[in-house]
Amino acid sequence: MSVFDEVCAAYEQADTATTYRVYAEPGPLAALVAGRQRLLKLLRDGDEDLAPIDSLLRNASFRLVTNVIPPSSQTLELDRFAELLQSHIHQLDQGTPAHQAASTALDATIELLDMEGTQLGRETIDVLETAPVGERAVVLRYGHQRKATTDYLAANGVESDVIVSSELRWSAATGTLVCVGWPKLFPDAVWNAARWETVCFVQYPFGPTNEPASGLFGTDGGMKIRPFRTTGVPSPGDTESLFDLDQSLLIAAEHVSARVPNALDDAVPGKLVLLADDYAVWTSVGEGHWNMAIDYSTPEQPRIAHVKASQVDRDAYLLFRDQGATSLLVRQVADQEHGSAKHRATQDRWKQSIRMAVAREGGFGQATEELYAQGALTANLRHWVTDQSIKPQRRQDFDAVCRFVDIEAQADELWKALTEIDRAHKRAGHTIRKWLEATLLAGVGEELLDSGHERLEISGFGTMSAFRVLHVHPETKLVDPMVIDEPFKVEDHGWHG
Amino acid sequence: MKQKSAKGPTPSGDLGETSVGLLYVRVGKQVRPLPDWAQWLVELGAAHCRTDFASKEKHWAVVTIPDRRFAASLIAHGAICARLHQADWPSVRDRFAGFAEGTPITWIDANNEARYGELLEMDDDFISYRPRVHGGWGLKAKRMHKFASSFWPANEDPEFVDGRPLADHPDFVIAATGMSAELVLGTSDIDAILIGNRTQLEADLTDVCFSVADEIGCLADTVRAREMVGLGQHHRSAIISAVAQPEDVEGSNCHGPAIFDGASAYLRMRDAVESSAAIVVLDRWNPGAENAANTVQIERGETWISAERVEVRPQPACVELYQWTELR
Repeated sequence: MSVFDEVCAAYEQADTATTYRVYAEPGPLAALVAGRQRLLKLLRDGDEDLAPIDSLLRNASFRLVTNVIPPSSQTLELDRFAELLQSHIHQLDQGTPAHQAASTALDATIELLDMEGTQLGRETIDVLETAPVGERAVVLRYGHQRKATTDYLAANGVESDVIVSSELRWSAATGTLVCVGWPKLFPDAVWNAARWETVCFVQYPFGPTNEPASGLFGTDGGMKIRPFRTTGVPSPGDTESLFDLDQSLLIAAEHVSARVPNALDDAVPGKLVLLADDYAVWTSVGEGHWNMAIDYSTPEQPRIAHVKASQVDRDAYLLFRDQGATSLLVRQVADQEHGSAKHRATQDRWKQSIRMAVAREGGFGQATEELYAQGALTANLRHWVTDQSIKPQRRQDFDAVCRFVDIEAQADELWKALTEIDRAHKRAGHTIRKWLEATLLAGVGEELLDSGHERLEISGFGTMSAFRVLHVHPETKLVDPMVIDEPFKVEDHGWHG
Repeated sequence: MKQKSAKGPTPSGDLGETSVGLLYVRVGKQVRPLPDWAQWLVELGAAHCRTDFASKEKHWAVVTIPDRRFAASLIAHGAICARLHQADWPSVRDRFAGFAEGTPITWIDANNEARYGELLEMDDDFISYRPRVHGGWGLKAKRMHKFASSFWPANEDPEFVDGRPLADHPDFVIAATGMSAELVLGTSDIDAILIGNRTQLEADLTDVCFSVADEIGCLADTVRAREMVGLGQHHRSAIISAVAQPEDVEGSNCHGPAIFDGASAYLRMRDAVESSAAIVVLDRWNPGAENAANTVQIERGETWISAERVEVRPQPACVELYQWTELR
């Protein structure tokens, strides 16, 4: 074999090795080609795993079981089988109403039968769906039995809106996460795929009959949740290296999956800030959002300041809490140092009452209208039910909420408790600032100035990480509010070519 | 010597049908068309062949492929062929104006074959010449409409200088580039620079596994790297080692794309390239490609000014292409 032939073989292998395939634009076409090549490989070229099939082709018939509407199971001659399968592929490609309505991909199970109908072999072909592609997202390929997979994940405490995919890669070609599927049917999934640089990677946990799958597409069975990450380039023929990942990232992946937003409406405008030591963070550019920063304008006396995202620039120093949001730190300090703990039950009761009232009204839209009808000047119910909010600023709005949720008799008691919490939070903010400034004055920040990243102890309340800002991305993008102010390691979220 | 399908100078224009559609691969005694991925790489090079020194922008293209052998060479081949066709060559009239009687000339006749002769005289429309016949000069002077076919001043036998061949496979050069051998072999320019492992690049370039029509050859015949053709010979490209000093890249005065063969070449030399077009070839199985790709991602965020892309047809399925434009 000549050197050029070796190179050609490498391309061919990359083209047919489903596991490692990177789909570049136009994804659907590539997928279509891959599906057909896969089929041809199975039917004609033979394969080590399919050697018995290869030798029996002439005397055998094939049964094609598809899950497109209507589900079908037919025993066919080879030519007719190939024709039918390609017809399904074509219909998927064209997006006929029936196929658009199908919530699953065309999964074809091929059973090899001898003349007496005895099953000799069986393979599952996950023929990739093909679909029009927008500029940004390519598509999502999800495993068959998607619902079973997501149900299983939910039963195991993982949010069900996990992207289930056998192939999900960050593409240098498109600058997007590349996957294959129906954008129209899974807009959220595609949205998530395009936005999240880290996703939960789930290998097929089930075969077609909810049994551990095996074979060309199979796994070793059981559930595998793997965070998709960008290191560990697989080699041809190595089916496991892609999944041989750092399990410590599992927690992070679950964390991410739990934060997947349900709708675009929840997204907030944010900017990506590149930090020292290969970290990055999304900061909110929304009104009223502040970040803690270290003001080194007087180096001998660094001070803690609050800055808006629009004020963050290169060489600024930002502070982020390592264990949860900074607002939670304030809450903890307020509870332990400034006595707001005794009012928390009251606060929770108030928020729970609002949630129930909103559900009763049929959603935030109707609830907001009702609140205005009750005399509220502002009706920011979405915010008030979150942990970031303590109380409405105006008593008038608060009273309207109490009337709306039918707890007007307790309004005074509630208002007093919430005001106490509000004051405690403000005092806690001052306390944290003093602690941090004292820490910096004690010379702890030297490493920060040197390397751009240092972890600061907050007496008894965990740690905060301080980073030097390297770059602020000029574009504003819509991001999930829960990723705001959560620094992440860039190398875990990059590209996989 | 019989020459086939050679064109005279083309004032300007696209790559057209040259080289891109002509290269074949030899497998034993058989010949097969260039695979789609290889042809696409040639086209990628052709698409990125222009460098505008005055431009403040730089076009980047990153391709990731399963195996990067031959990739940089094919890209360079495409870029050089395209630049040869787009060059603003002087007209036949201008070229002949300064030649004295007796200057050897070559041209492509009506049968598309190369002929040789000796210039006698010319006026505005016609050229008089004495043909070369059986190794000697013909006795009768001939007269031909000088724009009826493609004339070119040449050595008596343009592929040789002092009996030494200018190229190992001159007919392959003509067939693959679609240009007169005199243009390819008799002029020097840096139409592309290849940055990478020199040993590997030279191995790719010298593999005689290509053909056009009946002529066999290697990419070194058309790429003609300065370091490979030898001192005093004409060249069209340069090879720069990935471990060379960055100053070597700056001094190359490249008119075409800089082609980074591999992650190391890109990571080490990316800032040294002055060319306004750069193509990076990354081998997906190489762990180093990961660092290069991350660098692409990060630095692109800092220098990116637009998603402007150089037009090239959609890449084959197993190839990724990532393009952007940044400030130089």
